[in-house]
Amino acid sequence: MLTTETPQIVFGGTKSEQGVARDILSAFASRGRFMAADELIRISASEILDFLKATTGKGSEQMVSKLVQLNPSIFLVEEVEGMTFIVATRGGRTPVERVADESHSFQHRFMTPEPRPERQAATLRPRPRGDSTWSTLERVLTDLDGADSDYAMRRSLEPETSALVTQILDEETAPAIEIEEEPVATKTIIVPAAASTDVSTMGDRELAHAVSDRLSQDARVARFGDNWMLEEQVPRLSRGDLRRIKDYITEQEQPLTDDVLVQDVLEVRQRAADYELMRFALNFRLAAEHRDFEFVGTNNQRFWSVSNLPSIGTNRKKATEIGTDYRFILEELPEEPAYRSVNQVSHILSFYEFYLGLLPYDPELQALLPAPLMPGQRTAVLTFETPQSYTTYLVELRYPTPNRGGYMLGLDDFFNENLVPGAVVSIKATKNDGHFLVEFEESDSQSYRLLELEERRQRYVFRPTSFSCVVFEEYLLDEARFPGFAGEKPVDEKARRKAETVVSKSFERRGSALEGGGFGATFGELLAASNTERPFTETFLRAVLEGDESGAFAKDPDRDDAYTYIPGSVG
Amino acid sequence: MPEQLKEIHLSDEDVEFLVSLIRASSTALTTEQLVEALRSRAL
Repeated sequence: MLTTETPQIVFGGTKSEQGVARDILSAFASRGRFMAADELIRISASEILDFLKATTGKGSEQMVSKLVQLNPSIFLVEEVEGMTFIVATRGGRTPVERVADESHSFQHRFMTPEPRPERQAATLRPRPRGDSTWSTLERVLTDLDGADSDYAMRRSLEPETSALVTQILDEETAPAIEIEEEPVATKTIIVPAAASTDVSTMGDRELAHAVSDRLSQDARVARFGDNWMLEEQVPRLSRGDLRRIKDYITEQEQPLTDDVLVQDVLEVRQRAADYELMRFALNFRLAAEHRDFEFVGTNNQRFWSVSNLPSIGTNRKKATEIGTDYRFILEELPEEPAYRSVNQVSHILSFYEFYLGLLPYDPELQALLPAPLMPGQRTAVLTFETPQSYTTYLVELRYPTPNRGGYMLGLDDFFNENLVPGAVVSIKATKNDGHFLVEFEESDSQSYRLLELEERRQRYVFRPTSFSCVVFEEYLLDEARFPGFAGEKPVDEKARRKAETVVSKSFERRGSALEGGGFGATFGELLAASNTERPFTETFLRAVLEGDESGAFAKDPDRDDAYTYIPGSVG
Repeated sequence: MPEQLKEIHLSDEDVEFLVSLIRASSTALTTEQLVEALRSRAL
């Protein structure tokens, strides 16, 4: 319901004239019912006249003019294009011309931005500046990136920048904090640079160790082996990538290098700009996947393996048993190994090594081989190339553990095809720390009846054997010198654990009986014969012969480097 | 010798310098290169 407040309006004229004027104003109110109370309402004089004639039955133009003149505070007259209009408001007040208040308008505000507020001078914090010696950073980076790098070129194009750097660095040589007290908004604060370590007196090895030590603790830096990158810059491998890498290694049935995996699985070409980056990424990311991948490489030849791969090397003996057999060798290894300190090692092959296709991780070979690249690395796959047969073998190096000795497996075929126990092999290091050359000295063809262990019957037999390699004759296990082996079984597991028992058995198998009872043999013969049952090094055998408390073994005074054995003294 | 190696402690400034080098390089840097950079800075 619409309610309107009726204003108290006083009309001029007689009562009848006031009544007519009220009717006219009501007509204006009806016309402008939805208009503002002070909005101008225009009705032509002729329409007013028609209205009066229709409602009262009388009226004239003079009458209308008179009413307007009698109520100047209510009605106004306007002439528009020859027509007369009466103007009034719904409120009955004198219409006044309205002027829009534009003193505050959006247009004005948008078009006239407020002046920038005056900023108070901020409190300046001391800012550490780089050490003046950083001026050589330019040269260092140039060295690292190469003279033709973008960085080097950019630096060479900006001599004014270099001058500015020099100027800044000169300022920084000021020893104390200086705060300018001038009443300006900006202040220059120079603080002394943090001290850098003087490395001029440090050795390369020590410094490298210190660098590795500190950077390893920095979460920003990614490390693999001897290489460093910023962790956030190392691309990540998807779960799909990891699965495909795992499947590919399993499919190939042997450990594969990072080169092969990046090219074959990740499909990055060797000449691609990001090849080295992807190699690092593969190594760094796989190293974090302990459950699925195992690093079995060296610094230059980074092999990766997965579980359930066929083992490299012999199946004739368990790896743990071989490691236990070599436990004694742990005592011969130096406390501070000098890895890769020699370039070549010559080694006389023993029966034990020949039968199992292995080489021992003795002090000589340790000095030739690389150190484990990763912490806790148990094995390393090496490649042994034989130039004489144009063949390369995958060899698994098992690093020693606190309870088991180390050794290298996988040379069965090379030994069987070219050598006999007693042969001399030479192993040479190459620039690649995971790749070695293995050679033997060739000779005219020789034939001997040599010792073999018949696998099915587990008995020693002598078989005619021809070979064309140089051998150390004292170590050659031929029937003429070791007749006692014929038809014998290897000593049982319990007996072979005792080195003295194995050595005494070797005296008997040598078969060189002494006149007054007992047996005699040279040191070389004992070393060759004892190595049929379990591994012996010269050091270990010497210790057994000379450290025997029962007195069963003694030096033979009549022969050079020979020993005697009186049976019954060793259990 | 292990005892001598433990005596070397690089400052935070040294580490920041090495990290900035590693950051600036698009490929992995070797420890040998980082050692060389430390020595060059001291010149």
